[in-house]
Amino acid sequence: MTAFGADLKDREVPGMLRGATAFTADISLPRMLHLAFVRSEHGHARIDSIDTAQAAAMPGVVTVVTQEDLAGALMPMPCIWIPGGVESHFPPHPYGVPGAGTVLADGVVRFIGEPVAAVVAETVEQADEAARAVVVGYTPLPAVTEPQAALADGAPQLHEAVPNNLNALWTCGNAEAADAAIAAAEVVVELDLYNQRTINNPMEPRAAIGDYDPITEEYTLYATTQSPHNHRFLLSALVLGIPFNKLRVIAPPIGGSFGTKGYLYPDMPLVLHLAHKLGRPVRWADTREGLMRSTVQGRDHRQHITLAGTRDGRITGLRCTSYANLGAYPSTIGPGVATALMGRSITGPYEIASAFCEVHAVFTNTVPLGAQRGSGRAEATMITERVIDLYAREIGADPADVRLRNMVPPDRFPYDNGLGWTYDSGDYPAALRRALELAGYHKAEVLRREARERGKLLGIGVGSFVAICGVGPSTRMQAEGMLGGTWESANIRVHPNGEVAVTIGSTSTGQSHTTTFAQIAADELGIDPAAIVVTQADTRKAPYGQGTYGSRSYSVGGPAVAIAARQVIAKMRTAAAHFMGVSEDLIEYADGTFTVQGKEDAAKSFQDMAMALWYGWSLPPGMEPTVDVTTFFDPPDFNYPFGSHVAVVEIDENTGQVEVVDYAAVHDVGPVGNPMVVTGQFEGSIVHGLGQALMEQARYDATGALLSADLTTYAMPRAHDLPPLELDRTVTPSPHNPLGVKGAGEIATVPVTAAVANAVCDALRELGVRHIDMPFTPEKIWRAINEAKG
Amino acid sequence: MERLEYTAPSSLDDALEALHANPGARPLAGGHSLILDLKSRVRRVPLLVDLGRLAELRGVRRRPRGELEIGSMTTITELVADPLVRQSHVHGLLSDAAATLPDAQVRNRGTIGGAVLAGTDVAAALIVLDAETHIRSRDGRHRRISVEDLLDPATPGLAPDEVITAVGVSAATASGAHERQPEPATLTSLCGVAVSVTFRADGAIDTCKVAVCGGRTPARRLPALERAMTAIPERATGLPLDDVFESDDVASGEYRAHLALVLAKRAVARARDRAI
Repeated sequence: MTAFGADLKDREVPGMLRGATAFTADISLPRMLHLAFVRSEHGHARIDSIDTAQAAAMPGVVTVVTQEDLAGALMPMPCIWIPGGVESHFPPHPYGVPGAGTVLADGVVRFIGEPVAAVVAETVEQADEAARAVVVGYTPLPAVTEPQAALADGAPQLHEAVPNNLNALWTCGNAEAADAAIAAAEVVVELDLYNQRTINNPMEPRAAIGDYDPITEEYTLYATTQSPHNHRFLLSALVLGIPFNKLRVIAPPIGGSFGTKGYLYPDMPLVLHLAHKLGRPVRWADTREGLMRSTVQGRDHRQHITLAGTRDGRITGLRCTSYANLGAYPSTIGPGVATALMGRSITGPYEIASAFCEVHAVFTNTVPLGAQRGSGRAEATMITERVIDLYAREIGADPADVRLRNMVPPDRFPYDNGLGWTYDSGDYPAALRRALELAGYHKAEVLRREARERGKLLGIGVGSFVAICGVGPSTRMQAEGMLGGTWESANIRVHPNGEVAVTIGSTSTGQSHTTTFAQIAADELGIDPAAIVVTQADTRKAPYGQGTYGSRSYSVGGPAVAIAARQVIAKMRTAAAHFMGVSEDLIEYADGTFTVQGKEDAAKSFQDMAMALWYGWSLPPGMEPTVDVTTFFDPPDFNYPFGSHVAVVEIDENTGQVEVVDYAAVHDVGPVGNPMVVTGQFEGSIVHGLGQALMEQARYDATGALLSADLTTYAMPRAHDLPPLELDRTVTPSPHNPLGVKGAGEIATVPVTAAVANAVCDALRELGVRHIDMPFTPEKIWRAINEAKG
Repeated sequence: MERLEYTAPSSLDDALEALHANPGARPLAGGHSLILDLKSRVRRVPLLVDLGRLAELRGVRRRPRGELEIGSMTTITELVADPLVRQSHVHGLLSDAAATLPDAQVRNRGTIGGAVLAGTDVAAALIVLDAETHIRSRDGRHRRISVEDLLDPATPGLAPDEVITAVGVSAATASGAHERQPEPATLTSLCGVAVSVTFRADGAIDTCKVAVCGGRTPARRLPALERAMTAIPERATGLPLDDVFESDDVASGEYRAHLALVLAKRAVARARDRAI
């Protein structure tokens, strides 16, 4: 079959690019009202008073609500991923899970942008005007924005129930063994690194519309959610306290997410509650400035790592301590992202006998932390890949050689990394060798001299990685402390004429699900992908699914489609044998036709069987009419895509300007269903990493004020900042699903910062610069050069 | 954005009258700073007087003594494409400066008058060209003042009822160039340096004017840098520029001062290439 592996053009993107797609904010329901938030202007303050009188009297205003109005109606927002082995150290939710703060601020604001009140009016403009007229009396409180400062004696305390602001001290690995390896090592290298906070900026900011039908008593939420089923459960059971049957969640087409739209936000229950209370639909749509201060932010780890090794390049131990900045409240799955995804990943693709990681997850007066493409794994890869470079320099070895020497060999799978991950399959050295070849790594010295003649400092840097993806086996995630199954689903319904409807439980946020899942089904069913529609993201129509995150849609939901399709063909085969009057084992199915061995004239097409099963006139005994199959797939374990990147940078010594002049990246995500789509994900992911490496940084002042509050103060990469990307793939199937596929949506972000950082530090090495933290802004580089020169 | 009144007069006199009669009214040219300020509500304007219909403020003319008179509402795109500009000595420098607005939509909308008042790269280029602004107010009153003086914080700037009608650039033979380093979020210049250089027959620099921009202070000439460039540019180091640039969230004054020297050398080298 050919549908799997074909470069089919995406079905959804053209409409999105033309602006023709109706996103959540474009939906207009009859008699719809508009909600605007009054957000905290303080990083930390006591709320003394909220005067809503003037706002309530303004034109078009229907109501103004504060937390006082919501008490008893809306429960706290739940946090559903508290890593195993630690206390949540957070006030309990009435249902026993940890709470994550109230829907609107309850007496104290703890981060800039925290919603304090909400205004509902006839128009967006009226709501905005009235929100400005709500007068909030604050008494500013001392703020703390850095995790280590928040742990110090005398630091401002955010939550009464959380002593010293410490949500979790999480560990993995064997501390004694790591310490022993370090004590016995011939070479010990240490590094402090700040993986700065970043702000996710999908093209489409978040939006939510609540609707309530008084006849059926059913609520409907239209929202930018990548987990509609999961959010239906959490909102109905844990926030609104309404029957599951009475909430429908619809995710309209989504214009990007990078992980942020998998979280519950206060606007979601609030628009539902107010739609019920006011008897009219209520819409809220964020702005770019609002997004910067209310959507979960990414990264933000302060790390210290110690590497132990031999003089001849064998890494024997690794110990990492990280201070993760959770922000002011635990976001829906934030604590798990900041701990397990980072900590268990620090050994990267290497065989390291003794490793240990501890993460202090700490509350501060900043916007809550959540996922960002490659989250946890990118932060782990960054520090490990940096310290490996320093180790290589220390022993006078080539950094690529040290990596090749220490990588898990292809014959060692499944490989237990000692920190909780069991790598599934791969040839890590082969991908690195290919990346080195693409980048012309062996010519580095020639390139360096040639650049020097042009007045530029050239550096070349490697970033190798393996990234846990395909969340995941439900029991495994339960052991990680996640409340929620992590299986995925598919339904295949065959229409009478042989067209097919595939409905999936996962939700595309721009990854082309409706195209790529059609390809899986077409390939398995032996029919044209054009005869298949894929629907998703409506809890009334789609089979239960757990959502789109952790690169799981294709590697967990994709196999569900394949398994369902195989069941479709199995049923048709049985029926075809019955129709043709032969034993089932004589039936062959290929290219959309059931044939009988040895009987050239006997054949039934897929369409024939669809029609026969639709009419149901003469079916085998016991067979039900029609073909409508639903499957749920829960993989035996995660999958582990991997690869290596090589960045070449040139630095203008006079200005400190860094230019990434060449970039090679080799990935292995197993078999690829649509190379064009996957390449697009790789390219976008690499740009994401380049943004963090070169310019992105969420900056707060000491009071918790956000200094990078819009796109004039938060830099993101543009086309002219990007190097040509040379991409290649190797293919190692995963044994953990019937398609052999691995996650692909976020992994290419994982090693980018490491490759660029290693290249920048390589370029500056001859001047005596050991390490610089991201982002590599020109002034920072210029200062480092000046300091190194003395 | 708050609601406000808007008018688009069809004659300059009507526009000037409207500005005079309505305290707080502001003229609207390309709107690139004004509209953003209104959207973010950092400025309140009771009346916008749109100059977009005033054909008399658009286009480039050559005056009898060779002076180029650039209508203030001429867009940056029109400016660098204008045949008179293309054939003149100012083209290289103005093209460099126009290119600091990397977005075609901004160049298509932004005007030379607005660029003067923005005080950034285009203004720096006009300063080293000794450009003069032609200013009108009600009842036929008019005055001329150099771009440099208009932007000098020590002199009173444009009065609320005044409008720049044109920018004049005198005929000359100097060779110019502009260099800058953009800041990645807005792509405005951390530091921009415009030079206008005349060379002696032996290739040595005869005269060199240097104007800089970057940070909150508007574009201005920098005599210390001019003296350094007129001497031996390659040897210029450690100039007393420490207090010339302020520090802000984006860059330190020290770094901007360092860039000014680096960029001035590059601009002079480029001007030299153009002169040959």
